[in-house]
Amino acid sequence: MEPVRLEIAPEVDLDYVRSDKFKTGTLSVQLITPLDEKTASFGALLPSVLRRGTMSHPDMRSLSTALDLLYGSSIGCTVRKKGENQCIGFAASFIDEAFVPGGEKLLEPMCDLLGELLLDPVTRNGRFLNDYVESEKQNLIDAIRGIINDKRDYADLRLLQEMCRGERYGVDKFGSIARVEKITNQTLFRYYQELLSTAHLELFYCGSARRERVEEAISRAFAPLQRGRVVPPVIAEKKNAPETPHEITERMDVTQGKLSMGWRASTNDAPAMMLANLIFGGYSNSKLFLNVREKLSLCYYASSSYHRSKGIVTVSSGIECKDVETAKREILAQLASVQRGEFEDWEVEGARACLIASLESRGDSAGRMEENALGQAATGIRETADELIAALRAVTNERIAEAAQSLTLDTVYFLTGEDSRDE
Amino acid sequence: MRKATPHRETVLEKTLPNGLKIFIVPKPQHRKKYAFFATRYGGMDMQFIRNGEKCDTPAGIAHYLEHKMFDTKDGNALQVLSQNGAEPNAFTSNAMTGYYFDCTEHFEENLRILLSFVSVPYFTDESVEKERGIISQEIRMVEDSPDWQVYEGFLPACTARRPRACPSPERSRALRASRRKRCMTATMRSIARPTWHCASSATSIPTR
Repeated sequence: MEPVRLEIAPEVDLDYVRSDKFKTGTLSVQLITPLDEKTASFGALLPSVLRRGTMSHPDMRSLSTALDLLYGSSIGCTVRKKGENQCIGFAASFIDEAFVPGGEKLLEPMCDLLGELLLDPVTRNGRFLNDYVESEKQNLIDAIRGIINDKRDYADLRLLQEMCRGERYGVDKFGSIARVEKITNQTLFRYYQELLSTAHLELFYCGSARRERVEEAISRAFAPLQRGRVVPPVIAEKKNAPETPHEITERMDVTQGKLSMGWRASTNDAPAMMLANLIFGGYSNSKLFLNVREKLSLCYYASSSYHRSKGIVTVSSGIECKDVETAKREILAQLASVQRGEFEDWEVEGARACLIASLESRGDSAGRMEENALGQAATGIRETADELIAALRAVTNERIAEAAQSLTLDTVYFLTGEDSRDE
Repeated sequence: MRKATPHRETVLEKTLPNGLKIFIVPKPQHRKKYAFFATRYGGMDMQFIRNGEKCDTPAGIAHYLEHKMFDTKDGNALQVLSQNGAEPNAFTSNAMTGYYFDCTEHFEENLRILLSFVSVPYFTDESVEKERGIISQEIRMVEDSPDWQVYEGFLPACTARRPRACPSPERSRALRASRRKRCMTATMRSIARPTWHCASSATSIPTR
């Protein structure tokens, strides 16, 4: 099941999936803008300020009532990173009209509400309401402060910040507390106006409504959008690893150490790199799982991810602090064996089956289809699930080893509870 | 078998003579198939009666058992399922243990593997010992999680009796207390008998 891609207006695209297998319809509106240290906090703040009220529903209570009258529909704010772009907007969920009594229409009012949230926020003297801006700034600051509560996410984020310092990829999608604090109502409003006029707008619909109806409802709801010169999404820049890998150790009051490692992948053979990553550490049959966890009992989790659009591979693991050198050595040894082509048929076929199963079942989830459509729009990597499946089937063992050989270690980040004085 | 059809859904239900309840929800439009095996045995079930006698088990054993049930005489069921492109996993909560997988191919074979490894225990001293490091790291991971700490602190505060308040990835000190590996293996063998790990306490929901 693949979305049909339709151009609603210049740089306003709709990915449309007609399906009656879901009981809820999905409608998403996303602005895609290059991720930038200076503007990331503005982008992260904007949807939650807009979500506070529109001219016709100026507060949360009025908005909630409107959604309740649409049979408990929901609209959530989204802030995502896709490649080196920040994607911000709203995702709406509402029951399929087949279940609504009396043939009442939900699609049109939902489109109108999303259009209002994006284009017609409640304003006073040409600005947002101060209360809304200030309270949402505080919420965002709390969210950024909260990242540290999940040490795994925190360590993985710190790895990317250190490894991709000075690159868009190293910027967190929420920006930073210092940047949020500096935002004023005036600067946020200016950012909002500029974003609306210059960002690529990506829409996604999945549900039972006919294509013409969806196009018409969206065109009407977003007709007031004033466009200037659109800045297209950026293609992520690929870099080489430094001659000597960066090593960063940070100390914190933790019981489990977090070891995160990052490599640059110079290969352009993405299907082979996907398989190499799976064999290395991408699932529960990988070398990292079978050796670092099952054989050596060093950890509960040690897994790798291939960030395809950026051309990097990262490993994330939670270990006993004192075991860091053993774990690092073992992770490197497992990668080296993939690079030497030391993998059995069951390893390759298991990895291939796992990736293919994931692609085949993408159409079972409207959320995954939306994620994928947005990712394709933001990164410019265009391919259907069937095309990628065919490409994966054609990958040889030699290509997998070659892809793995293109990895060069860039950065090692270690979060430890051990005090340096004890060492 | 009973059919219920609220909102375009069909649920097929059957209870086998041994007490196992089976629920089937067909999803003909979906590629993914999903099966879940649940058993009424969890972290708080620390004491049981066998042959009229009370037996105590160490805190943490339900979770330990969940990890080790994947071991089979031929190796490890997790790996076989993964090789078939399935995504298997399991969890232990206070009152139940759940094993599940999803896949797009080889569903029947995968279901047979699931039903086999959850009902045929195979432990050795070595494999039980080896798991200790893995589980210890799982516990240490949640020790760093504020959400989990709040939950763990809250339970004893609102329940009078300690065992009820024993959460599933139980404390590592309880695990460390069960150092004697032969004792651990023997205890696990005894609780993995069918009285606990199958039949009347399990539920299976394959789809399609």
